Amino acid sequence: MTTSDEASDLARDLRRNLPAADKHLAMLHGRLAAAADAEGVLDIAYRTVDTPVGRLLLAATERGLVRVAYASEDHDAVLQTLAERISPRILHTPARLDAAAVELEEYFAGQRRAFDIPLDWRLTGGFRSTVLHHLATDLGYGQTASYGTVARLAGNPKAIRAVGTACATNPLPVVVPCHRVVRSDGSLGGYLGGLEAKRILLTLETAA
Amino acid sequence: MTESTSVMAACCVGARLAAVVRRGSRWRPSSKESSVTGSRNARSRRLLGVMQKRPFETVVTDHGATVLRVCLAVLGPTDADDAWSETFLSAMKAYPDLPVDANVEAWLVTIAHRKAIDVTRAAARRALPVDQVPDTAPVPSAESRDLDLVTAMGRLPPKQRQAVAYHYLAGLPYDEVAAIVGGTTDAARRAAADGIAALRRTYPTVADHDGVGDAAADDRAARKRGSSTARSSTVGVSR
Repeated sequence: MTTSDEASDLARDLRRNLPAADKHLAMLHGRLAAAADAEGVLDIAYRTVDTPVGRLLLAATERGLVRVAYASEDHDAVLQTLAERISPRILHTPARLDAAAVELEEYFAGQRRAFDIPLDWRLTGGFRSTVLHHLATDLGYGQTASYGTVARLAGNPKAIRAVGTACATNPLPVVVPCHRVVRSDGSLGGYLGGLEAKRILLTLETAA
Repeated sequence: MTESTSVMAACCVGARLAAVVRRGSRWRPSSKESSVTGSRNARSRRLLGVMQKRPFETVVTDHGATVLRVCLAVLGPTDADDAWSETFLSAMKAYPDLPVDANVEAWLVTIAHRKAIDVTRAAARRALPVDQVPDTAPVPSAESRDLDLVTAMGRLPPKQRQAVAYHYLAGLPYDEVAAIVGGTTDAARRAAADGIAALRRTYPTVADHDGVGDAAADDRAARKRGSSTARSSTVGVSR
């Protein structure tokens, strides 16, 4: 028997058996996630949700939602960063993000104007954190504000560029509404999820 | 967890073992490619040129199938799921302390080996009295060839079974197998060779009954015919 015969035999065995194995492993994975959660060793749970602005990654610690990421940010790279900055004990655990997923679904359906889920702010700090907290509390649904206005709100009117940086590095886009910050001339400015996503979000909020 | 999924998983390990027994070939895991996150991360790690601790999710997706096959081969379908779950839960607890350059699969197999011993001891403690024989026969099915192989595996002495599973299914070199099961590298190599030889002796007899259209059975039939065909051709059959 030649090596390629052996290889094709192996491949056939794999094809014949892997569908069952995948299903079985998915069941075991779910059981592991539940046990890890129950024993307090699931430091970060994550899932994805499909939305009008593309597939979003949602990640949560025991404190709350810690990261929302656009597909353009590369979800694998985002998870790797979470492993290094918070903990590598990360599992795909959709159940622990059910509440966040439901609120996002309601938001994109135009049925929710504010998010109630607990947030974990640990991926931001300093002035950026101050800026993002002001966005979350002072800049309501359907409103927009200029970078300069937000800088004043955050207590440092000259820090217009820093407001731009805070928005560009927002670990919780959509939920913390950096998309509501626009240029003083009314144009959109930039957005970490891409301008099309920013346009979709603002249109959604003015239509509802 | 249902009986049937265990059985299906047992078939999977049976097929893998069948390939090994048929050809003595070493199975190389291909699951490294299967992870959505895994391959991308591998690439970005190469780009960065540094070792990073990957999300535990990629450990499960990359090594979950191999660890399950090892648990099935060492423990059989009844206890494999529990051993798998215990292995990964323990591994997840210890994961932050694992050195970034550690051989993750060898580490997991080492944990699985210890968990399998725990499961076996627990099963022995709650064993039925000898006069209570289970009244259900092993599940016969279209996949019984593979199940028979798992059964044959279960009849091997533990050291042989472990050496076959860790070397042929997990792909660990014999020195690592020896480190896990104890003893010398040579002893581990001998145990695996003896185990494979024993499976080769028992497997064809338990497998031939459902060999219709089965490549493995055809192979074996061809081998059996081989000697007589050779003889008849030297003698020369007149037509």
